[in-house]
Amino acid sequence: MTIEFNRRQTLLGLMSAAVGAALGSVVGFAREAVEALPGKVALHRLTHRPPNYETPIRYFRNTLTPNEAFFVRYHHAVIPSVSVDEYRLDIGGSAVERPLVLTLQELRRDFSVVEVVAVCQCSGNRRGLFDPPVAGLQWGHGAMGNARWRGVRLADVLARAGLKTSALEIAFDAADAPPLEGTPDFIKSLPISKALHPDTLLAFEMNGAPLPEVNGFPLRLVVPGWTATYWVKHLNKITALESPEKGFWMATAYRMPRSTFPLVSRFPSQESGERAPVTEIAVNSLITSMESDGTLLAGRSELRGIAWDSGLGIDRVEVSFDSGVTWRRCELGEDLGPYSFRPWRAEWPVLAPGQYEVWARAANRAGQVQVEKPIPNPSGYQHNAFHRVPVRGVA
Amino acid sequence: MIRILWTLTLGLAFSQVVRAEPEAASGEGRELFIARCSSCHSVDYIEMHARFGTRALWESQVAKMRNAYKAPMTDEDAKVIVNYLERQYGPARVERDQRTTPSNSISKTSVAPGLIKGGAPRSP
Repeated sequence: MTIEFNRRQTLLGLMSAAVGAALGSVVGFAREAVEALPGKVALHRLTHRPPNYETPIRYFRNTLTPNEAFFVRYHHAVIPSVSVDEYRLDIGGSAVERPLVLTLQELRRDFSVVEVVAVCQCSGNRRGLFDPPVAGLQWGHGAMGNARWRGVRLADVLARAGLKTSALEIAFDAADAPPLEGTPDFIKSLPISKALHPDTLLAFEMNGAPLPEVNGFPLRLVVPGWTATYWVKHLNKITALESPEKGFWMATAYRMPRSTFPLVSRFPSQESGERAPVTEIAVNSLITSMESDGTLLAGRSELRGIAWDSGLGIDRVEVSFDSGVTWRRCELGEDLGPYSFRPWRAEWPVLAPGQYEVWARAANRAGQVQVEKPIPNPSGYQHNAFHRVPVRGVA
Repeated sequence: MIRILWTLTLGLAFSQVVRAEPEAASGEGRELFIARCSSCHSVDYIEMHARFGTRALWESQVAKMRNAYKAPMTDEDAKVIVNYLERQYGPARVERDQRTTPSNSISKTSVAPGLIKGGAPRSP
């Protein structure tokens, strides 16, 4: 179905959203589409249908990303409105002893409820910054968010169903669907080791509130340390498999040449062929304290940001004011756990007159460090180059 | 049928918050493009690739839509659609728009605002 375009409607929509976010007159912003989905604040719109919206950087000044500003990513345009009363989670497949059907109430009542703070980051976050460009959603820095997820352990639910020793992967299907019958349904799988990890959750809340509709209500998979492609929303079916999941979204999509990233946390049963699945989040950092024009005012803007990785833990964040010749160590802030954004801050040095950029880079406890240039790969995944921000006011 | 109803419901829900979709650029092939492509996605998927929308890019994307996503179209349809995309959503079109659009206003061309934006870092 095509919704008929109407210029006045669009202008109204853009203007009201922009005013709501107090962004209307910011330099260079008139062309930036900002729009609010139901229950959300105005976000950067990449696409209407399926809806793909990214979080403006200023929201990352909070260690936890507000639910209403959390990015939205869908592969398919048919998005259900799920009723809590009618919702059922099916757990089955050839590798369970006792197939189960659970209501939301049963999930909350029959299993230990636990919490984890974790970054949910799209594999293609920052794809729009690759040069030369790469086809796919042209994300900036905001296809990610950090939340306190509350739910039950996937391992506990699988134990109730009786996982057989023959189980190889756990597959996840959801209530959203493609408009055309022939388009591959969005089905993802996890290796048993990750599925049974005590931090892998079936979450019904984020940051103390039910999941927003467009962030997976009423239940989504939370896979700390791994990219958001595995964090299936509107989850309604879990299947224990004795052979690898072979659908498009595992066998073809979300893969990278094996050589491109050092993988600590791998997915061996999906590693046939030259490309392996994207798994863990690459170590990364972001400066978050820019002025409204996207620059930093020398000596005056706060110098703050966040760093994160796949849960190995941030070891250090450094900033450079001389294009990477020398680096200064930053002060790390509150620690909400290994999968969380880690805030950091730095002091301004005395800068001689000239043109500057501030560069930021993070390293994790496994010795992985961000790169000066993103590592090219066919689908534009795992962009983790230094964040570079221009400095104003050094005459 | 159920899927179509879902889509309709969604469209209505979203239209309450004034979420009008952008419109495909006018030009030869537009109707076929709408008929074959817009049941699954809005035209902003096209717009965001315009800054590097070479013929090779559009050929590869149309092939991906047919092979991976099973978009229903004949070889002849695909040619018409690639021609349309190359003409209306290629670098030449972006340059034309940049010349004719004041930098501080929303684009007045038939192409929705956002066509010109590329991978530049977004405002904070």
